[in-house]
Amino acid sequence: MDIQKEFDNIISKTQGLQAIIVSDKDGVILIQSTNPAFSLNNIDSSLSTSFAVACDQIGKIGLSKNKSITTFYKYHQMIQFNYNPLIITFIADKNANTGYLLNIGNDFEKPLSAIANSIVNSENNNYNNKQ
Amino acid sequence: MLKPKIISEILNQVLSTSINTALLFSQEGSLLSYATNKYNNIGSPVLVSLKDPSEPSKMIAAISSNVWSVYKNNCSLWFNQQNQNQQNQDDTLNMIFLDCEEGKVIISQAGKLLVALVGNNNTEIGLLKIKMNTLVNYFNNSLQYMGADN
Repeated sequence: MDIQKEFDNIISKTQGLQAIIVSDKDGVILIQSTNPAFSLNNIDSSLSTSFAVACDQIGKIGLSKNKSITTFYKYHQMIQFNYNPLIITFIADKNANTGYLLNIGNDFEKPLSAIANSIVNSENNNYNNKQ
Repeated sequence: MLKPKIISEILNQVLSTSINTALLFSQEGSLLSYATNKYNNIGSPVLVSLKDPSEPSKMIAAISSNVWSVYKNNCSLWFNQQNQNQQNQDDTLNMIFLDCEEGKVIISQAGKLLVALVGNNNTEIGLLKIKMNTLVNYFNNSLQYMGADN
């Protein structure tokens, strides 16, 4: 799968980047790529659901829609992009280049919009079939 | 004793043409002090129509504190679980940066209280981070006994 290869490629080329995860807002993982040295054994849906909750609330601040949330922890940083209905999560070391990660995250908008659209369409079809 | 007027003056020093609001608030979301300037980009028409000028700041404080607690409680735990076998178990949350379509917000902790800066789209994340670090270092000593223990 091309996008998986692309993710692996980005991880191997980017210093400090440990994982890229594409999931939906319920925490179901669609694509996942990790650095072999980084253990991602029990990734839990709390990462995505926290983001979905936070995104909804930030929309009410008065600065229009939320694009991304970057959280800096003592040893890690995590960048999450809101490409509704998809969420991309980058997990990196604290020393990784945040500006660069934000830039590559923005580049994913177009390739992922195809997947996002097909999800929205299938949801609409299901809804119409039920009616 | 704490002098609230001076806190507002310190917050005011952070402001510029691109960073237009600085807030100090508790982890429960109640606003303690704020500073804002004429370049302010927050406040929907509904809120502007209200007579209280601190209304947008109160709302940002409430929402920011909630976002902070969501990430502090849920995701710190997740990172700690990952590092069970390593030494660095105290992977505490330091800072949150929110990038919105019409502005940027950065949130951090000073003592037991939270500080937030709101900028427009012309501001860059590096500048926000440096200003926030300076502000947090300044507040850390004086505010370490303020606020609830959690």
